[in-house]
This record gives sequence, C-alpha cells and structure tokens, in this order.
Amino acid sequence: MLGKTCRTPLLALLALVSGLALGLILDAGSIHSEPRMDFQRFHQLLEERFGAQRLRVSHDWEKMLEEVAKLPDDQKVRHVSRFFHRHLRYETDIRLWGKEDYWATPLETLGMGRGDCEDWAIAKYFSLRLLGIDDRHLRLIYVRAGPRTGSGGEPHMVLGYYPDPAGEPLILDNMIRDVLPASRRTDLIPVFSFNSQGLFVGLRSTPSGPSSARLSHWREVLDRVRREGMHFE
Amino acid sequence: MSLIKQLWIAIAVLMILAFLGSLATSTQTARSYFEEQLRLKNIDNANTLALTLSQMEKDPVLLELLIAAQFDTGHYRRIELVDPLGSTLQLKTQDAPDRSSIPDWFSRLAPLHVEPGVAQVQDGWRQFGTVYLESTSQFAREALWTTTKELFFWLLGVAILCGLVGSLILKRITRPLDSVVHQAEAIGERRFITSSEPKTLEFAKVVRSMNILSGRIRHTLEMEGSRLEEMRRQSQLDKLTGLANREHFLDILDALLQHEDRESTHALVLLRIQNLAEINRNIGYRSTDDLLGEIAMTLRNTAKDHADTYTESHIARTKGSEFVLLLSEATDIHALSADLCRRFDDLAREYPPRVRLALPHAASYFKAGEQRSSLLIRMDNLLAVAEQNEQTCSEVSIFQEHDTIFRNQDEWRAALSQVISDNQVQARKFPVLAMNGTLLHHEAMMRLFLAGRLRSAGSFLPWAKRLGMLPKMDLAMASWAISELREAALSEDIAVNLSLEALRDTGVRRQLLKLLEKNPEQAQRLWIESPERLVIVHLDVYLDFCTTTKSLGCKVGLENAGAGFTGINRLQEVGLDYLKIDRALVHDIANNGNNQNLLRGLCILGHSIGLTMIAEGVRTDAEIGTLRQLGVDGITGPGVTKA
Repeated sequence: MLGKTCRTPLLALLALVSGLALGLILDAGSIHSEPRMDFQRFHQLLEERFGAQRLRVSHDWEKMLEEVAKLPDDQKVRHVSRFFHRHLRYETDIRLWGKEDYWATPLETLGMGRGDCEDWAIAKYFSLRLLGIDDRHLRLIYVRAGPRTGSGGEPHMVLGYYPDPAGEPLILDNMIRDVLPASRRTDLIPVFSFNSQGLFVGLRSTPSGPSSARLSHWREVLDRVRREGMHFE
Repeated sequence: MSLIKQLWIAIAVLMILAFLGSLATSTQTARSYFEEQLRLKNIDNANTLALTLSQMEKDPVLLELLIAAQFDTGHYRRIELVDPLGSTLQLKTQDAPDRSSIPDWFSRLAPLHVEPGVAQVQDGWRQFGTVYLESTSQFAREALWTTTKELFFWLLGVAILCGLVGSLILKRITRPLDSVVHQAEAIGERRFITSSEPKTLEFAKVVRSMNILSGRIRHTLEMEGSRLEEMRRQSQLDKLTGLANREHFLDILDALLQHEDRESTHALVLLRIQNLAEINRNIGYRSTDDLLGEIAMTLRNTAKDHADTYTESHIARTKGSEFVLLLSEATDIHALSADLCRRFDDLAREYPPRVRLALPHAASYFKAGEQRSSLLIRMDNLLAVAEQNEQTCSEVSIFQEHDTIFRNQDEWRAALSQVISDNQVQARKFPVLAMNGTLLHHEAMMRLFLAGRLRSAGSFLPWAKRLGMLPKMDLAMASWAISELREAALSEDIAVNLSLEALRDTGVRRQLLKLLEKNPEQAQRLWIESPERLVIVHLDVYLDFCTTTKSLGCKVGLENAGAGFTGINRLQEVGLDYLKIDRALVHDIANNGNNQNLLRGLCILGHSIGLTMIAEGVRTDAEIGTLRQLGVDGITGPGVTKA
C-alpha cells in the first residue's frame, strides 16, 4: 500500500494544489467601489413583500435618484432628505417590527413607509452612496439628543455629510426637515460614528459563508441590502 | 498486467484521491474558519479602540500612549490611525519574527488572508481619523499547520486501513479466479479437467461451461473407447480364455522378429494338450473349458511371478489345444520353464488318471531377424521331444543360448554402473516424420559401449531393468538429450523414453525436473514417452509427472500404444501430446482389415483430444499409404528415412 502511494507524488501534489486553489478563487470577492442598484429586483422584492400599492414609493425613489444624479453633492443631500421627510413617518421598532431594536434596509423602510431614527439614517446613507457620494463624506453618527449639559436626553442617530472630510458636517436628522451644519445643532452631542469603510472588503455573502458568529446589526444590514439588489462592485 | 494487480492499483488510486480530497477539504474549512475569526476580532477591536479614541481628548501623547498600550498588551501586527486626508497620525507595526515550524510551501498553499478592521474616530462633529487594525495571524497559521498535520496522519491511517480492508476483500473476491485460471490453462494444455463451481456468478458461468466441455470430451472418450475395446476383443482375443488369438499373436511375433534392434533376445514357450478331443469326451465340454481356463490362468500367473526377467509378455491361444507365451527381452527362461512345469504338474494331478492329462511344453530363446517359419518349426520339434515322455515335462532349447556379454548379474551391474558414472551413455537418433515428410522429432535409442563394442538397447536394457538401474539410465539419457539439443542448437526436437521405474523413483524424478528447469529452452524441444501398458497401471504417478513436465514446455506421449489407452481413466485430464502406435498393430496394416478398423478408430479418438498419432515400426510404402488413409499423423520405423 505504502509502496504504491509513493509512486504517485505528482498526483498527490496536484490534488492538494487544486483543492487549495479552489479555496482561493472563492475568496476573491467584492472590491470596495461605487455601488449600483438593480432597481428591477428592488421593485419586485418590494411588491412581493409589501404589495403593489407600495410600488409607487419605490418608483418615486428611483425617479428622485435619477433626477438629482447630475446635481452638485450638497443639492443631492438636500433632495434626498426632503424625499424621505415627504414619504416616511416616524415609528418605533417595537411597534413596527415587534423587536426592541431592528435595523431596517431601505427596501423595508420604503415598504413600510415608517421607521425609527436609524432606519431613516440608513435609507439616506444608501441613497447618497447610490448618488455617487464616497464613504469618506458620510458617517452614521450616534448622538445624544437633549440638553447640552448634564445628564438626560435621548440616544439618537443621524447621518452626517462631510463636504470636506476634515471639516464640519451637515446633519440629516429625521426630527428636523432642514439640513443644518453641525455647529447649529446644539441640541445634539456626537458620541461615535461609523460607515461601511473596510466592511465590504472580504465580507462574505452570509449566511452561506462559514460565519460562526452572530453578525453585528450593521453588517447584517449591509448583507441584506446586498441581497435586495445593491451591488458594491 | 493481471486483473488482480489492476484492481489493486484502482483501489490504491481511489484511496489516495479520497485521502487527498478529504485532507484538502478539511484544511480549507479550517483555514476559512481561522480567517473568519481573525476578521471578527479585527473589526471588533478596531471599533472598540475607535470608540475609546472618540471619547477622549485628542492629545497626541495620550493618543500614542493609548494605541501603544493596546498594541503592546494585545496580539497585533498593525494599528494605524490615519487622518481624513490620508496621512498617518499613529502607526504601530511589528512583523513577528518567524519562529514557527511552518514550511514555506504550506504557507504558500494555504495562506491566511485577513482584512484589517476599520473604524472611524470622531472629534466632536469632526472626523478625526480612521483606525486600521490587524491582528497577528501567527497563532492561527500555526494552529492551521498543526491541524493539517494531525489530519494528515489520521486520514493517512484511515486510508491505509481502508486499503488493507480493500485488499482483503479483493483477495476474497478473486480467490475463485485462481481455480478458474488453473482450469482454463489445463484445457489449453488439452487436459480436460472438471472443477467445482465457485460461488461468484460470473466465475461460476465460466467454470460451468468449461466443465460441460470437459464432460463432453470425457463422454466421447468413454463411448469411443468402449467401442474400440469391443472391436479389439472381436479381432484380437480368443473368446473362451480371453487370451490373444492366433492372428494377433502372429502380428506381435512378426513385429518382434522384424524389429530393427537385432541384439534383443526374446523367448517363446509352446504348450499343447495332446489328446484334447479324447479328454473332451471323457469329462464333458464344460469341464474341458474349465481346464483351458485354468491353463490360461497358470500361464498368466507364472508370467507375472517372473516379471523381472523380461520386458513384455503376451499369452495367446493359437489353436484349440495350443498355447504360447511370448516374452520380449527375456533373460531367464530356465527358471520360468521349471516353475511352469511344477505348476502344470499340480494342475494335471487334479484330474483322474484315466483322463491321462499331460501338459508338456517347450521353451526357446530367439532373436530378431530370424524367420518366423523356422522358429515355429524349431518349437514344434522341441515340443515333439517333450511329448514323447507322455507326461507333464519341459524341453528347453539350448539353441542360441543367451548371448552372454557378461557371465552374471554382478558383472552386469559393475559394467552398467561404470558406464553411467563415466557418463558414457550415447544414443542413435531415428527420424520420426509427419506424413508430409517434415521431421517431427528424432527418437533417441540408447547405445552403450560394452565389452569391446557398441551395443544396442536390446542387449543391455533387460539386465538394467532386472538390476533396477533403469531410472539412472533414463536420467542419463535425458541429460544426453538436453546436451545434444543445446550443443547442436538444432531446430529439431528429440524424444526420449522414460520407464515407469524412473517415474516412480522420486529421487530420479526430482533430478529430472531440476534438469528441465535449468534448461528451459531445451525442455521446449524435448518429447518424453512412456510405455502405455505401464502408464495405465500407475496412472496417478504419471498424471502428476505430466502436469509438471508440461508446465515446463515438454511434450508427453505414450509409446507401444494399442487400444489400451482408451481405458485410461481420466484420460482427458492427462494432457497427452502424442501417441506412438504399437508396431504389432501397424505390422502388415495394408492387408489387415481388422487392424485397419481399429487404427482408424484410434486416430479419430486421439484427434478428438488433440493427440498427434504416430505409427511405429513402419516398413513399406504400402503401409505408409494405408496409414495415411487411416488418418495417422506421423511415422517411424525401418522404412522411414529422413528425406
């Protein structure tokens, strides 16, 4: 037996190499760049889940994105904010989804027509990304809303737009229709911010991947968005 | 390549593929797992660090301290803080010295690609920077290597175990194949054996077919054999006593008298009941028949008891009241005659005196070349002398007393031993031709230089037989043939005789086989023949010998064969190559209708199992013509010379 196996080291090597090479190919995945939207798929999924009467909103969204695509970035920001203030109403997660905390995708938020602060921020964030605004200019920001000093206030989330990455952001907030510079939002104290930078690199298309851990809220949303038609290629 | 070897290689290849496949899959899975875990760790730690940095005062010293503390107490390869415009604020890197035992090829084949964790740091509303964090993958890579090594040995163990089990199963499955192959080879050598059917369906079908073939051949042989035996009885035997009849006796006698070896000395005993008609009247025909039967029995028994003093015996009832005992290559008829005399005297005394039963006989040596008529007249005259006594007695001729080269057994023994030990055995070669004139082989006849001149077999073989030296002489003959085949390097074959004594001598047999094994090329051209009469009696020894010698490439056959060979039980299993038909059957074949029928039957039967049929003692062109018509394949004898 051993004598025979020794005769085929070439074969053994071949099998080993091909096995490992296969793994490498599977690894080569998404690269960080401009996102695109498969609207046909988006509309279809939305119709399946929320009914044909909600299709109008998603078509409006597509139309809005088309219309503002040529405008300067700060105009895009204002149009997007205006769009969501026109089409969304505020609702808590527990009443909307029956869960304490649920991060909804743009599709779910548009489908429901309602959402809480992070749902608004997420929907705006992806809208702006689709309009070609880079991650460097966008942050989802945890803030404390309420009195400027002392304890109290509410945990809240807003979207920050940084025309200059090192400069002052414009704040898109679901509680206020206007898009204001951060310096005028004295009611908010920033705590922590994040965006999707670095997350799409090497991110596996869960849940088929070998992920062993529960995904964070944010990664889960990114993953669902991807499945709902947004491509980050 | 044999089937078993091919199956074995198939198993080995499958096991190796399965082994490597599972090894590659397992390694790949482990590698993905490690990558995922490291990635999660990178992301989480980057976020934690960024969260901490966002909350604190952005003093460069504090920042550096915090990042250094994180870096130094954790397992990191890189922690970098980059400002929003892309320039590095803080950087800690350390490429761990590669102390691991991981070979380079493994790192290349199964690398760990882990993306850094990225998180954003706030300074109030402003972006302060981005944290890039990479954990060291050293431990994961070592764990992957260790896991793979362990897997390798486990899977190798399993593969070896599976291979062993597979081999055992294979051996079990193919075990019946050996017997199938054995039988097929035997049939290829024209040994039509039967064997028990194996359990495996396909093998069983093959074996069944071969068994049917063997069975059919055996059936044909039995049918034809008994038909020929009946024919032989009708034409050659006396119905009352079962002895040879006059015609058959004369054929045998003529064959002996015309034998080309003029140095053989044979003997004839003639017995006549003088007043058979009177006795018949006296005691009735039933008792007379009994008497004739008793005489035949006495002759048989006496001949059997003196078997060591001659080569072949034939007893015949040539007339109603006349019996003959013919002994070829006889050496001592005096003792035999005296014994016969005593036994006939005992027999005669069993009858009342009024019957006046007297059983006198005459005995005489004779040599090949003598006229048949003069021999028979001499015997008549001798008997006439004995009959004058009117009582049971014998008259032994002193005529042509045995040609004594040596005086006694001791001198013979010394002389023959000398010849053998000096390796002085020689032979003369006689051609055996196919009917189209091509040479089948040369038959080697032994010649010895004794007492001053070269002697032919007839003069010394009877003594060698009597002294039990035949095995050694046969062996010497075989080695002479081998060296003749080797030195002459002729394309022709040589046939040698092998006596039954040699076959039964295990020492000689072993030496002979060793000789053949040492000379495989010569063995292919050696024909070994044994007398039919003796083979029939000691079939098992002969069967065993044939199987061995045939596997070495020799051809085996029977000589002096008559219809007797059809009586060989399991003849189809012997695998004979050729048959030399006894000269007594061939003698005067052109004019002998009975023998023609017998020979034709023999040839048909022989051909049915693939025998080459060769006629011995052929003398005339007329005989050759008749033999050709009867279907004989080859001829040898005084009338056959190499073209």
